[in-house]
Amino acid sequence: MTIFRKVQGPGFWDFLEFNRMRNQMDKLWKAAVGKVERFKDGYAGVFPLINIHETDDNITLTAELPGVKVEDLELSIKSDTLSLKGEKKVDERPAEANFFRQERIFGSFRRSITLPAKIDPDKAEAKLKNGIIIITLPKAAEAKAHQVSIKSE
Amino acid sequence: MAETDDKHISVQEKNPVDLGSTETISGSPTFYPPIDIWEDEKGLTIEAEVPGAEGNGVSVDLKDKILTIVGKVTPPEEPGKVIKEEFEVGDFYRQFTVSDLIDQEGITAKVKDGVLVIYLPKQAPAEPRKINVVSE
Repeated sequence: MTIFRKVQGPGFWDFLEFNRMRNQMDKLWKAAVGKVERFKDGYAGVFPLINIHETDDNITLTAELPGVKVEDLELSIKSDTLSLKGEKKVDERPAEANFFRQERIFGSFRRSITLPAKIDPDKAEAKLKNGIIIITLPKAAEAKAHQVSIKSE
Repeated sequence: MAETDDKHISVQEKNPVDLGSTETISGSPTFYPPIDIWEDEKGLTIEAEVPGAEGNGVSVDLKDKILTIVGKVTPPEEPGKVIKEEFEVGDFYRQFTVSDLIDQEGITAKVKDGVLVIYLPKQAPAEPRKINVVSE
């Protein structure tokens, strides 16, 4: 009897439990660290979430707006502030619909973003495709980096 | 960066699919799309938010009553230096168990404005059948 118990041992179940705990800890750690990094980055927690990229010539803003129609979006630029306003409307649903899941969120939104460089608002472009808006803002001439040649004497 | 924001709808963080440390589908992250499911007398409708997924990158599979939604999203070409990154770009994945009462041949799916809409019609109720009893 004793030998049998030893062979089966407590180790196996302990190992499972340990593994489960370790996974849990990993998850918590990732969540905590992820959040911190985002807040450092100026994460505002306002809809819609925005990514901003910069090249030598352009500033590009992208946001995910699934289900938002072009006619329900308004984009404006005033000096160094870009405003994105709109409404995510619910498509028509039958009155007698019986819901099993309701995870999508609808409503109006407005977000203003201070741009990281001076841009030329006349050349700004925006397109909405597959529920993603891409706003391309060419930098103003004075905001672009100019190469300065150095003379040796 | 200073921000002045009016809060209307709240932010919905993307929900990453936990594949464990040993499994990876591809290099990019995978998310559970937020969904609405409702039923009316004719059938079930599933709406899933899959921004960035195009028609041919979206697949809807039904096998052994399990409906699987996969949305492949091609990340944009590196548009330069990151100034702000509030969301991650990745694929979408979600599974459901579908009832026997669905007319599997009649399922339709379309993607529009980053929303996948799947319609699952209910089977027509069985016609009442009269069975003649023959007396011998």
